[in-house]
Amino acid sequence: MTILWIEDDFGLDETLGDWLRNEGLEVLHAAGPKEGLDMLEKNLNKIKMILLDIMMPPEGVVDNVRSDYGKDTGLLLIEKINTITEKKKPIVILSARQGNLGDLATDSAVRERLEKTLGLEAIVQGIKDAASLLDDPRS
Amino acid sequence: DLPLSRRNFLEEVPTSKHRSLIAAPMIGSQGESYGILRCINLQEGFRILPGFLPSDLKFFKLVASVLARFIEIAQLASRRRRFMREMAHEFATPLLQAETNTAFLNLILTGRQTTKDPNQVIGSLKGHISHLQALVRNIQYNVRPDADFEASFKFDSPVDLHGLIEQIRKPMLSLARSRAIEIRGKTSQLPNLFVDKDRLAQVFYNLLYNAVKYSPHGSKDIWIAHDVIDENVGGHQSAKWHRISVSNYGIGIPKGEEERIFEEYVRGSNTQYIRQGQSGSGLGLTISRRIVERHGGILRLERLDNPTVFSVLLPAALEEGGPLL
Repeated sequence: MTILWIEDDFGLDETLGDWLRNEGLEVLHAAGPKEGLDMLEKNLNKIKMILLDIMMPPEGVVDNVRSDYGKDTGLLLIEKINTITEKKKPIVILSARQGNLGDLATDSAVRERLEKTLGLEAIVQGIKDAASLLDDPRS
Repeated sequence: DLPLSRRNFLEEVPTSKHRSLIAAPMIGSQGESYGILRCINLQEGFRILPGFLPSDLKFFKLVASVLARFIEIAQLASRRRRFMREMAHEFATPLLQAETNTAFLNLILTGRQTTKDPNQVIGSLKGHISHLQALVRNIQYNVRPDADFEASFKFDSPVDLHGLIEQIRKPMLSLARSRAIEIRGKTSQLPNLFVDKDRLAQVFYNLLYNAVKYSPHGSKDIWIAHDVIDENVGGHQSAKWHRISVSNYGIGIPKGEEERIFEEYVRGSNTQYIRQGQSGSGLGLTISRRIVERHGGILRLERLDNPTVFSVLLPAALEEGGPLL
């Protein structure tokens, strides 16, 4: 099972990323939105699910309004991901942002929303649950 | 010093023939102005109303001061909420990483994990813990009363500043490399100086961490470099300074915010909400400047962008002994 993780926080790939690999997932890590979309296009058949951060620098991917620079980059990315995947790949949001994310986060491709403060166990369980649905033909 | 003249008040109600008005400034507890509260009494048609009385004005002033206080409290509450939210963000990632490191160590100890190098895991864990400690210190320093904080500095022995900077640069390098950025040091010519070692370490930690935090993946090298300059900087006696500069090719500082970024709880307008890795308390630069100034030095922004350069200027006199303050 290969998942694409679009996440710009440094060091997370070496910790949480490696942990997910240890749990048997194949994790492709993209350090930013632009890199993420490129990786998705190149590995479209292989990637089964997208793990997505929200607050990232928007450069080269989405227009940003200076006053809330980068606040919704991940959410604005959902539409672009759906265009590439024809909405066929589920998205799991993993962000530090709390509270209501608005309409964009209710897109039907968004399978799960996880917060970084949930702790390792709950985050990993959430990701695995979302991934296991993929193996279930009924879903 | 009211921003609106009497004429403005009257022009706002062009249809009425007779009127009287009273106005009172809304002044907060720290003397800041929240505008003017006005009340216009219309005397039109069959409704014959008396003008305002001196007692009305007295009451009105009270209303204005109460409203000013309400506005003040509401603003304070909103600033506090933002600060709390930013702090929660700031702690979330290093905690998650430290937790993951711990879980890995557990697997390694019980023989269920063999691919990870335990030394690397411990190194990473140490890095996340020292980052959390630095965050806590920024808060702690900030809550201490000025006099108490200033008195707590120690200048009793000369410090190998180059060694100190290297101790910070090296662990920071692993963070930077995860973003494909190098941190280069050029501080070996720094002499030993009578400085407060731990406090100054906090300054260089904050500056270097900011440099990494605000640099996009794969950007040009971050530098921490030293030179000696001769300069008379505003009111300072020492003309010879050791300048330690931290430069990065990051998002830069918006023009016009050169001084604002040093204020408490203030961050560059282009940093808000960017992402968790870039969330911040807005305390780092404030506290760093206080620490440098306690050494008789200066912390300043030398260049806004390409690269952004922050410099710590320490008086050369610190080679001989602690600051004369």
